[in-house]
Amino acid sequence: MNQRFKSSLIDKLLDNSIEIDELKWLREDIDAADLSCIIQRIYDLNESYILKISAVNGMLEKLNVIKNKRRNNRFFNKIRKGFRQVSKSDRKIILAEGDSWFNYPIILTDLVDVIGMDKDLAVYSIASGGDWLLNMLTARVYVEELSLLHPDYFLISGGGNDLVGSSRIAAMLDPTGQSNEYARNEWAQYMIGKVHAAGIQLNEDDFNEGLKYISKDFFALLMFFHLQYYFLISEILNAGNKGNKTPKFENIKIITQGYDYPVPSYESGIGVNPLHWYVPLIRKFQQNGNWLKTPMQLRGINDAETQRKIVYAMIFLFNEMMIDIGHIFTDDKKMPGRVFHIDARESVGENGWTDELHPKAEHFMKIGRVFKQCIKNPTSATYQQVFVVKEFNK
Amino acid sequence: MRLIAWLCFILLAATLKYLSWDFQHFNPGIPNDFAFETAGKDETRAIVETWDTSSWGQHSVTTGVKLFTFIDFAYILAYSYILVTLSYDRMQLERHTFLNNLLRLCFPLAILAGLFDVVENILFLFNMEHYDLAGGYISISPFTYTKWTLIAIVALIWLISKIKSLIIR
Repeated sequence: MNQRFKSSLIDKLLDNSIEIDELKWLREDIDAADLSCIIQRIYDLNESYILKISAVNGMLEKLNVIKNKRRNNRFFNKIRKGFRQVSKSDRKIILAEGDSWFNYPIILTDLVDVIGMDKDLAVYSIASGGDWLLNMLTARVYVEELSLLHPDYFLISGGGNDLVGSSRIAAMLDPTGQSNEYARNEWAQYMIGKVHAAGIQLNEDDFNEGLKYISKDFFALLMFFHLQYYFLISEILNAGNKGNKTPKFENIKIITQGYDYPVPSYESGIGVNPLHWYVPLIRKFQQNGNWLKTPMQLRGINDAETQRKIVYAMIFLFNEMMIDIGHIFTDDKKMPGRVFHIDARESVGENGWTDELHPKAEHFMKIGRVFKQCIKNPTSATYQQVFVVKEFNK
Repeated sequence: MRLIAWLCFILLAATLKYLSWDFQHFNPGIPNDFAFETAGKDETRAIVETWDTSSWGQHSVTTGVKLFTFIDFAYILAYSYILVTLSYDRMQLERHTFLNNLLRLCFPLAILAGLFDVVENILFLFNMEHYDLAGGYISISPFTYTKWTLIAIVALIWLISKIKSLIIR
């Protein structure tokens, strides 16, 4: 693809007027430089500044390192005891890259903790609470670890902080409630068309109401996520595949996740259940509301129901974007059974949150068990390559 | 951090144990700190008078017990931290949701036990100084028993989790 044509496609992506075929052409030809160019234009900031605001540092970085160190010690203890044996195919090596759903450094038991409890699964974690997908793809720590570990599964959780970090969500909103950006986005409509065709549950009223407040920058970011994930997954599945050679990670499987619908809130979380003693503490410490509620109010969206519907529409589309990635590798790329998605939507519920973004421990455990189900029995998906958490916990 | 906490814990525990042994060595059968913590007003007076009149090297046992109590403040910090970290480690292995939540509850229980121990030590020192004044005695035993109850709850939760993990692998 010539550079001028590619630039015109990027312009159309940023304008939210790109067509499905054009998005397909673009993703087939995308490289790290293009991704960098797109993100600078979405955030309207230069790359070094974006990397600066997205960097995980300070106390959080230290806590992330401590938690990963302990987990990875456990990983190597298993390896030293002869965990990996060709004859024992039920034992799996897992590499986890992601954000706070994979590494919540204090108090909670997060998804990777739950997966790592299984004696047949050895998890090596490079996940960091607060990390952006952008950082993960820029730092590319996973590349080195993939080569070293040759894992059976690669787990990735990212995008949440790119959307809500540094109050960025405020820039993704149209406070007039008159947005028609969804109608301009052929690809988003195509994904929702598939939802209807498959009979997947969608609250049309909430979704449509939420869409009215979502600006074209969100759709640009969503398509950017699509390109990032495509780039990442394609790179892993096709590593060393130049000239029709056998791919470097021939049997690796990839699992993604797409969060549940969080609730924008300033609530303190004080309650009578002593098992949830940590909720008010974390909410106080994190200043609950800073991720979602305040940025929305910053744009003049004060109604709690409207805020909830906006988040509903965003998370619904984010999950469908991830599911679509799986379809692409299954259908277009003829790589069935390689990319899976854990659909946690409606599994946490309105009262199941520790803070605005993270479920209470029992919900992390519930979702984590579905990850384990996916790893141990990948053919037991709810539909196609998707594992729907609420279906597994009925 | 954990290594430092464990070293402090062991060192302080050994020091406290040695002091207890030393008080008994110089004065066989002398009431120990636990007897003082659970004593009523009259018993408190009797114990302090015994300590005042008993020698510990060149000092009275009262001086030694005060030193013991000050060291105990540092010991409280170390054991509370260790109780929390051990609970955390156990929690990260516990697959059963309710037990996992109970192990998480052990964090505040351990800290609370430490706080009760701090209050206990403050009252301990207060009673040693003021036992013979009007209103100069405050009962320590409720704090002592609450502290031990909390520690027992934490230990029980660990035990259940451990036994369960041995049965259901």
